[in-house]
Amino acid sequence: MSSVFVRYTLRSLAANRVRTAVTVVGVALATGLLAAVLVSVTSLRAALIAQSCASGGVWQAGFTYEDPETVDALRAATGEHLDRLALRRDLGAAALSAESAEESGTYLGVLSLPEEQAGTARSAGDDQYSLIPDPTVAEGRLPERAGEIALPTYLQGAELTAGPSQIAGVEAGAVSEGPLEVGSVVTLALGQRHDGMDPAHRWHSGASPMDGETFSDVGEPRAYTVVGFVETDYETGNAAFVCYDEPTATASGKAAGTAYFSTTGYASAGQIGDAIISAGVDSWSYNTTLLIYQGLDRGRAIIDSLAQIAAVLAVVIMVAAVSLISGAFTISISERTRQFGLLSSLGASRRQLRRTVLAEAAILGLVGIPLGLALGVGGAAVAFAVTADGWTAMLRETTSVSLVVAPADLALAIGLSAVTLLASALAPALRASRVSAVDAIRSSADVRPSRRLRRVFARRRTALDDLSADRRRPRGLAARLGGMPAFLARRTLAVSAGKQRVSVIALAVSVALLVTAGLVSDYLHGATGYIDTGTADLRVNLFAETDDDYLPFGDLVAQTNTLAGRAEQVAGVSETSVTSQGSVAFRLDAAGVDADALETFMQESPYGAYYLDAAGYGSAHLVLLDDATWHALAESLGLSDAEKDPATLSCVVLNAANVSNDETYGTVRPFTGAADTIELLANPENRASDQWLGPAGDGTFGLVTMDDDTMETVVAVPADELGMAAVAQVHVAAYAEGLGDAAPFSADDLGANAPNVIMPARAVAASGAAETVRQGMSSSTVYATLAPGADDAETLDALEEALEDVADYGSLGTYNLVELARQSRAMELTVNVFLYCFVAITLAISVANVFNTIASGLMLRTREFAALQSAGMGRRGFRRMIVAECSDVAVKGLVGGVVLATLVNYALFQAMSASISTLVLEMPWGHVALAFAVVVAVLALSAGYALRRTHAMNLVDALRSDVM
Amino acid sequence: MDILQIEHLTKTYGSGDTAVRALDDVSFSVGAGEFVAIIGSSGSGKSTLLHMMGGVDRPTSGTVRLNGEDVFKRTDEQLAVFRRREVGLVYQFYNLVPVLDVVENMCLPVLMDGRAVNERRLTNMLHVLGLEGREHHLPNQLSGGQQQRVAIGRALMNAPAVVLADEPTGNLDSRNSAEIMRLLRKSNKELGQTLVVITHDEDIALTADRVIALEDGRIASDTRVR
Repeated sequence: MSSVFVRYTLRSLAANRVRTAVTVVGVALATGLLAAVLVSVTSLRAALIAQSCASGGVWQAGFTYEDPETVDALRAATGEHLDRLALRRDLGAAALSAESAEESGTYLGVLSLPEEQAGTARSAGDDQYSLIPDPTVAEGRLPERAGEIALPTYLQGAELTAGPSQIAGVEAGAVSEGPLEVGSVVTLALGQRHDGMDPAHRWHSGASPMDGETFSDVGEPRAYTVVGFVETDYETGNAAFVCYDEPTATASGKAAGTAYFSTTGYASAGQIGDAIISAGVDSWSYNTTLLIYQGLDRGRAIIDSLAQIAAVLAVVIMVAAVSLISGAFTISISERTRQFGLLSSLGASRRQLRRTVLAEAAILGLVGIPLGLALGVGGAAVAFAVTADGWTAMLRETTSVSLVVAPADLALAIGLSAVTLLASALAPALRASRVSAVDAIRSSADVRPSRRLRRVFARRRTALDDLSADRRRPRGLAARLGGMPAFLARRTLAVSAGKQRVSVIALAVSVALLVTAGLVSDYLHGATGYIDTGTADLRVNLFAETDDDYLPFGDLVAQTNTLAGRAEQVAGVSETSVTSQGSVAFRLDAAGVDADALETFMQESPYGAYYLDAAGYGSAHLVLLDDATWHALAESLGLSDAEKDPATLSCVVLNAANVSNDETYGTVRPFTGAADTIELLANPENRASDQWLGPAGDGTFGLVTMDDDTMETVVAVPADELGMAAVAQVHVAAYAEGLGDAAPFSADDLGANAPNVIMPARAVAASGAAETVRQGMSSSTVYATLAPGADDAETLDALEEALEDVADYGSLGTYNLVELARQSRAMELTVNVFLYCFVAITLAISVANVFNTIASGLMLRTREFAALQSAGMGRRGFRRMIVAECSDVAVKGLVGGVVLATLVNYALFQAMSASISTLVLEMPWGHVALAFAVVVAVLALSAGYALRRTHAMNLVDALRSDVM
Repeated sequence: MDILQIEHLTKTYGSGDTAVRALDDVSFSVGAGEFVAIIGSSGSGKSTLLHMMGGVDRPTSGTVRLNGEDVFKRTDEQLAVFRRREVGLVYQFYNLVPVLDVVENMCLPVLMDGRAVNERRLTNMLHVLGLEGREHHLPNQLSGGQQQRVAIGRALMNAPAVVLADEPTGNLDSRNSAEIMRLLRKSNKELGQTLVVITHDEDIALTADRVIALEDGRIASDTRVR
């Protein structure tokens, strides 16, 4: 019985091959997009979890215990929920001698390596990561038997001496024979550190003493063989490691420990906490990152926003898909109204008719959904493969995102697609079942006058009311402007407003999506664009050991030349720039200061006041340039020949200060430009140790100090009373708002809350300010550009090696600017790939939607068109009528789309303004134009196709056709 | 004087083995003001012939002359003008434009031609067709008979020299049929319009001046009734 209807359905689908194909494609795209979104989110989530597991282990919670029975209590409290459990013993701490403590801290804590406790269940796949990772070995190996120890890396090469420790009455309990290296023996007398307030609370590790803590229970010294050095991390502090079986060495023989465990079957972190409490433990810590990723803990969870994004996308996809598929069904049904009437007259029940339509949906789904799954999973795989670098950069780990195809996701995608199909087919199916035989056979066309049209007709009394005053046109604006074709188009739209609305909405949504995609991409580009690295590819920062011993060469120029000379020798380096940074007090005419800008800075900036006051006193962040770099900067700023000369004492003042806090980002201009010179000032003499040169809380610059009562910075001696002698008058060559493309560094690299003053090193060294400036210097920076074909990482390593032994620098930092830029580009690419994939597919759905509604809508009117032609309408008039109809839809779709996009733009702007205060709201007219072009192209294509089909039909056949 | 001259009109659908000759070398003339009924069984080529005469379809070979001028020498665009000015077409299935009301449908050919609607003619026509009070109804708000009367109104509005009707009463009951034929006959008499009607109805055929019978695309008989 039902096979007749299935066959009938199959025939109907075959009869409308193009529409069936478009609908199947629509179903496939929707399913594919849903599958891709779900698979992507799951993959990302898996990558995040993998990253967290690899770096921090799979423990969910941990607590310290004094008594091993606490662990048994936990086992009892968690029961079958306990999955894995590891213990790490805390063997105590040894005090260092006061001499050794200078470099290496007051204590050396000793922990055992964690040991996983057997006898607990393991959930599948969970054991690929350790519960709590072993420390990372920098040299040697981890201890494997009692008596072996791995020390933190900062003790590498240090010698632990005997003698009194920093703790009153305690002798050093950590002593080595000579500098520590693998194979050395270290003797440790371990005791217990306790919180002074709460003696029950033990400090288990860390090198620094806490306020009021006590140290006791020191046992006999024991000798340990150093087998390796390990990296320190936040979780374990600066501790040494012994193996788990190491005997306790405290006087009492007690050792505390930390238990780390994971569970299965708990619904939230809170339940895990409850279990810990019922085990009698009142203080514990969570592995929050992992719990968030596992969905057991909330917070500012990436997982949450991922799920939200997925949900939003799924809703958008489903709405677009329902619009497309139900449009196709509606047309398919109205096309066959007479057929349904006929079937009904032949005795088909309503249920049978309804089933016919639902069978059609099922057939479309059977073809479209598997196709879509393949498309979506394949597409996601390709997208992740293309963007692998970006993900690695974004996750800041070597973890890459690999595709995770979870059966649950596929099932969800299939389910959502099926629901979408059903929702699309239900209304048309109901309508089909309500077609009565009489209606169907009688109906001249599916035309019902709209309420508006009925009102218009109701106002017209005589026959002549339908005509214009001269009786040559129908009444109305459309006819006056565009003649009969425009009139007919207008009327058609007025009558079938509902059908047109489907197309208009489809168009508007796709236009809005396209514009929004462009916008988001622009914003992201803007955001990544803030990573401005100047022209240099590599950067090495060299910091002075202490404030006072900078420039061991005693000569700025010689220093600069030495660094530049070394850097230039490095293979792979093409150009180098050397700068030196420090601070110097200065003064300029009060007219040169914009007091309002300073006020703004003080209010908006999280750093408080700017290092410049309204009277013109301040402290500059000084940047000294080598000759070539100064010349290039001067050239790009258009300075005079005399100013370009690095022997001329002049400066460039950067007239821009960022006022950035957690919420906003903006720039103020602290200088008016009225001052032609600035005076560099000698450092103030007779400065007390709790005084420093800077701005007070009210913005006044001077020798300031912290008021112990109010905890506010107050002026101790005003700047003009400090008697700071002018050591040089420096000509201001330019107040620059940015550094342009010539500088190796960008303005962002410079000081944030002090005026940045850039000067040629040669002129400063030859001036009377040389000694003052030298005292204020704190670091030098070598910038290098890569020679063509040079490897950035290798060159940076070589550069670091070449500069390492130039002088006694306290520390040296290297920055691979090429890599940073590459990472930011990779991140942008990643975002764009996913963004545009989404937009492209949504656009495809929308295009299919528009095509189906426009093309099918026109094809349904074949007989009407034939009637018009037989009544004498020419081809040209006909074409104009169709163009007028389509233009109407296009214009409405575009306007709706732009309105929608503007709303989204405004929302995005609001969201972005929260972080970038100087952002300007702009409409991306380029994207709007592109969207418009797409809309017109889709319409033209659809209408063209439909008209070709209608014309292909013989006019005579059309006139005779009794199938509506 | 002959207003319509049909000479060696042939129309073939399809090609090769499946070719169907809907019209096979048909020739005849129709005099001005004549009322001709074309009869024949289904598939005899009646409608094809009518569509050729109305400039709706082009023949495979042969000519149709209206007032001595070859209709198919015209371009498609000129043919459209021909349809709206020179002939009035009435179909079995009315073929009204569903989105236009009665008056708009009736005035369609005049308006498409950019000419002024003759007010008196329109008012008179509405009266004669019994459509007063229905001026602003859409086709699907009308009965079949009313729809066909609108279609006749549309065909006559331009006062064409020739009115061609393809089974105009095929969908109507006998009372409505008689009414429609009365209207066509009246127009034929009063305005001297040439009227060609395809019909299955023997009664209608008997009211014509002349009856042409088609069989398998050829003229089987051409009888002058009066």
